[in-house]
Amino acid sequence: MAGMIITQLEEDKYRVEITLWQSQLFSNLAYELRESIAKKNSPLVQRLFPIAYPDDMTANREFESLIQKELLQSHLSALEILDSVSEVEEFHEAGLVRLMQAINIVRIGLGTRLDIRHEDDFYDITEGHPDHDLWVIYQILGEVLSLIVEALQL
Amino acid sequence: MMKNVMTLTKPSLQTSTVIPDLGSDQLTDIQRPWVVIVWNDPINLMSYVSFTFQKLFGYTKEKANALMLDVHHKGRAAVSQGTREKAELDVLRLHQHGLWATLQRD
Repeated sequence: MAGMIITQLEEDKYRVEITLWQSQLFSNLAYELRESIAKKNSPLVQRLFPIAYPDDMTANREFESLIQKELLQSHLSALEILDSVSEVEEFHEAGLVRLMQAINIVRIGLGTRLDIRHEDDFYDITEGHPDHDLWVIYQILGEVLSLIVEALQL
Repeated sequence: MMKNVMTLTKPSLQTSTVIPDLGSDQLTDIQRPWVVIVWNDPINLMSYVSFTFQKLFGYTKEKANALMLDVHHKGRAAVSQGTREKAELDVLRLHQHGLWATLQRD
């Protein structure tokens, strides 16, 4: 179902082949997540900006004031990769890692939309459920992510 | 966040320097390292979490898998420790990878 093929060409070179619909899907998902991130305090992206000091809100505010921009920039730059996967002829390992990060944060966004709070929550999302299509995409992203991790582990 | 950096300067013999009398509790508190905790969440894949530990901390696959399984089964695992600055940097890098990480005194 993942439909992505990753071939390691050399030690630090990978070819990533995806279908046209996947390319469009990645691009749309990146766009949607960027929109959610732009809406400050959107509950859909809370998991991408976790609290570092749960027992000390003052320390947490200081920490956020220092790292928020960097974390935001990291997420946004990872998402940029999703707009051009099909155009990249070869990925270096660092690029493939960024792609992995991008797929993961988009998947986290989808998981939040699906309100997945426990690992077996998705068993309730059967065909005919209003979130079924979203859940299928969530599953596809999980497979894509597994493929990338596997390729990087080799 | 650089709050806890201690600068030690040699006291001048010609001036009166008051050295604060730190109780043993305070000394112990200063020496206690900061610990980075990764918490379980139902979205991140186990293979992804393990790989992230390997990549960010240079852990072997075995150690990374053991930590990932602690996160999965026990709900949390301490994945690194050190100064507050190091712990905060580690937390940032984990957040960049979409993992739920916090830090606290050991």
